[in-house]
Amino acid sequence: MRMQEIVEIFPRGRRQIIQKILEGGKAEEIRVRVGQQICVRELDQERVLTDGPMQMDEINEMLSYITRYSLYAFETQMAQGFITIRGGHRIGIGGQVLLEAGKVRNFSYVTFLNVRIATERIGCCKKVLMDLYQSRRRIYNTILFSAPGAGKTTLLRDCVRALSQGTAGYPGQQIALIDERYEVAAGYCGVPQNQLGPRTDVIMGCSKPEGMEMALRSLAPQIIAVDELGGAKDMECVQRAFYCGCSLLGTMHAGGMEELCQKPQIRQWMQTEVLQRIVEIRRRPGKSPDLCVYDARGRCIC
Amino acid sequence: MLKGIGAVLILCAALGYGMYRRHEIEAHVEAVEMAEHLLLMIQKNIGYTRRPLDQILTEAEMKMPSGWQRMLQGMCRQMRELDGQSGYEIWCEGLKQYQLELHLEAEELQWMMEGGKGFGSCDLNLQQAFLHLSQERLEEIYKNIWREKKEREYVSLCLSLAAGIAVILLLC
Repeated sequence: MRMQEIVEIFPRGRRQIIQKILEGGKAEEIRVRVGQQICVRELDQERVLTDGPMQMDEINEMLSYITRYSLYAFETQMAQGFITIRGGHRIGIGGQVLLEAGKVRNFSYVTFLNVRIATERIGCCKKVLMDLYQSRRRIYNTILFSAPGAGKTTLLRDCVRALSQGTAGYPGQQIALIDERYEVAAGYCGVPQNQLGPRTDVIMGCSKPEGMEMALRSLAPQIIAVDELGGAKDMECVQRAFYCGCSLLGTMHAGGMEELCQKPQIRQWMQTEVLQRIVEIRRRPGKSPDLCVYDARGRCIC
Repeated sequence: MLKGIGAVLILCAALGYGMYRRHEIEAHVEAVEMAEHLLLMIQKNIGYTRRPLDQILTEAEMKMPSGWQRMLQGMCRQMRELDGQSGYEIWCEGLKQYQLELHLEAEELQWMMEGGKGFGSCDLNLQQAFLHLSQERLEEIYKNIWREKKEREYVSLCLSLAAGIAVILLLC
């Protein structure tokens, strides 16, 4: 685990205790709230630290460290409610927002921070990877779906890494990853902090339709990977990508196969068989998620 | 004979001192110009690329002379150490530490420090405004010292020579 990056963002007086906690290796989240004790979530337990409540100054100090004294450089990310730091860890931000023309521009007061410790699950796509290949050099157009929090992004990231790396008999493929919310690559200053393989190009912070257009125009990808498809524009752009010689690897929210098939676009893609693989991720408490692969007709093949 | 040699030596020393003063004046003019360039680079870069300050300073460092490079390296190092100081404090401390090496005078140092007053704040416009204001002030200072440069160089050379002659006369 890349711990030092987390320890560094805490006020100097609290670094020792945070270091100790992280050394335990169980921490998943560290929650910082103004006037409250720091809380650490370890697996399914919560631990409250007893080194005094967090002061406003300390949160501001943390914010300086998180943004390396350059709040302006993280304005776009802050408006989305989080900042990614070195090591790929994400800091969720809460407080009083600053609106401009009805949209969140930034925060006037940052009073809550949620330090989410990044953990990469390398190899989690092993079970489904071979089912995604159509031939040695091409994969099926694939959608990964699940309810929120089941691990779509994690699976997408690992698929990207594995496809980019390639395996015996299956050469690595050129992948363009459109990472609108910096979640897949965990980009920090333009550099992905997560392993994405040697043949992956990433477009970060850009809307999916625009990113896909850019990738198609200039990056010549064999696979376009996108997280959280949903909007009409996203679908339109994906449709275009289907007919440009690229394969699609995307994720979507849906509680189950039936729910997914209720989305008109998905139904249409399945009928025309442009969408050839659908992977369902089912969360199992305390265990790694269950993966189920469907073909274009909705038949479970794995 | 010895008196003659002594007088020549004194004159040479006086001339040398005059040249040294002249060089200092030139270095000062150059320092103010560099200070202005640095502020301009930071101001434009943060506005256009919106990269973090340490990266902006690292980029600026490559385009500056060696003394400035050392100062900027020190600032970047300190910014990456995250040791409890604010961005403005790091900026001021770095400038003060290298003031002599950079040939900056008190007024110019003051304006350079003012330029960094917005560092660490969220408002990009505020930071740019502070940098712009300082850059304008330095521009005025630069114009003044540039105008006076030739005279000052001439005066320092003449004064040194006059002092040398005075010493020779006194010793005679």
